Amino acid sequence: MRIHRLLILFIVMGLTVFSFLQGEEKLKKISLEEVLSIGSLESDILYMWAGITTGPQGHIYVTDAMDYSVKKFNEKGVLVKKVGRKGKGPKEFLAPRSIKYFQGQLYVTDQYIPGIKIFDKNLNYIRHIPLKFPIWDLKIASEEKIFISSPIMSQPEQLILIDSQGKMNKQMKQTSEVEEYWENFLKFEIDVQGNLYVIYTFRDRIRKYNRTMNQIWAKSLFGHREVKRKKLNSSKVAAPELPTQTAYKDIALDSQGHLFILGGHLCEHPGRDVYVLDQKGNHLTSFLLPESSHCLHIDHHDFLYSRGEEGTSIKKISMKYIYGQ
Amino acid sequence: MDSDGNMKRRLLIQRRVLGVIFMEVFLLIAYAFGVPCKNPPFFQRALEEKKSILIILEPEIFFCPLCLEPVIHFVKKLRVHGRDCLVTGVFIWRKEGREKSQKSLKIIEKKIKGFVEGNEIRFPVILDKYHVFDGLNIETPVIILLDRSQNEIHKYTLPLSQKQRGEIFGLK
Repeated sequence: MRIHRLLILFIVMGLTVFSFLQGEEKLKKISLEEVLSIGSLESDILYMWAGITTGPQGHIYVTDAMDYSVKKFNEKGVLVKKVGRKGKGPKEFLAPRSIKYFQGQLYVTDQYIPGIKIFDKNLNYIRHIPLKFPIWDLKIASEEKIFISSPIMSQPEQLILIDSQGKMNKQMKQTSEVEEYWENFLKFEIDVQGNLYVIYTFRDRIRKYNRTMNQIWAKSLFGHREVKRKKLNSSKVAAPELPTQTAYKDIALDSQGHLFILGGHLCEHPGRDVYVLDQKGNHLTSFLLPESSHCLHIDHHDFLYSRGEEGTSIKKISMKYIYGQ
Repeated sequence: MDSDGNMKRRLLIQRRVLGVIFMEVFLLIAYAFGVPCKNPPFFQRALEEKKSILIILEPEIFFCPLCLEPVIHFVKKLRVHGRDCLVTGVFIWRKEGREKSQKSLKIIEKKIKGFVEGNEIRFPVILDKYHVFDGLNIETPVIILLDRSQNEIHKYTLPLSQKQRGEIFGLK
């Protein structure tokens, strides 16, 4: 009996030490393998997709800016349903952009139609959340907690929290450093603890905030370099300068809390370089997408989705994590 | 009885053959007048007036929905005035600054197809793949009115003024 107990104790200790050592290992490299490609130059199922999201059963939903639609694909990449056409009606779009899946519903934004259109997972129109401003990015924490970033000039607060009726619950100002309205173009992710990760589209700045909006860390990947700007053609002396390049294009979180940031024009391969950070903001590794993409999406199984052939196809990529000391 | 039966069968076959011929002729007429322009009187008038319109666009417009809006508005107006059968759309595909590959050509052709489908465009839209219009310096979409009756060519940029709209839609 004593020998048995000692053996069990030894195994438990061994497993503890092993898991401790495992915990110390850091992500060193990510290798990519394309597992699915949706759309091709020959087919007409995708013309120029803008936003992407995935459902728990492996369905892929995209907005297509060229034919003003939302499309649903099954896990094999077969087009199951398409909804939408040009217009301002319930199932119509002028410039469909972001799309997010949340508990069987799809939240879709339009660059020129303020508000959020909600569809069910079979693309049946449900309702519209009225808003008075355009949306740059959104995340749904719950049906009554929708986070929005908006580039509107009149409201420098950068993140807005609305409920299911579009009622503004909170305006969360992250910083007082906002000088120009285009600095309000930001994308963000929220992790399971409610921490917020923010990237600026036109500024070399990444920030993490806790759920009470206190800044935890701030980071720059390119030494705070400025993106190129161009002065607007104007007879006025103080013609504004607008950015013609992007610093960061998109942000995504995997199931382990790694932060994936798609670089813009400041990196060597714009739209292809992806920087992987840990939750403390440490740069772990980088990798190169096969083709330039405008966005990144990571599903529940840590498959990565990016753009192919200038938006005429979607690439589903398997990521293999390689750890080391 | 046999001869009666044969007769009936022959008549039936004749009727069927005639039916098919009539259907074919009807489809041909429908195609000739219905497909190129939904409004035959306008189509005939347009032919008589000897005018045609070119809409010249840069593919970069796909990335700027706001820039696309005046074009779409103009296309709608053309349709309302029954002038879309006079129009040909041309997408410039400049030689410089592009990856000269079959793939990039196919990508742009596919996007044009999506543009045509999404905006319910009924007139032909052609990609200038041999760079005929490369020399044309345009920043905004350009409308070219070829007026054969007056021996004149006019160039307009969108959005159009009221006078320009009159010149194009009125075809005076």
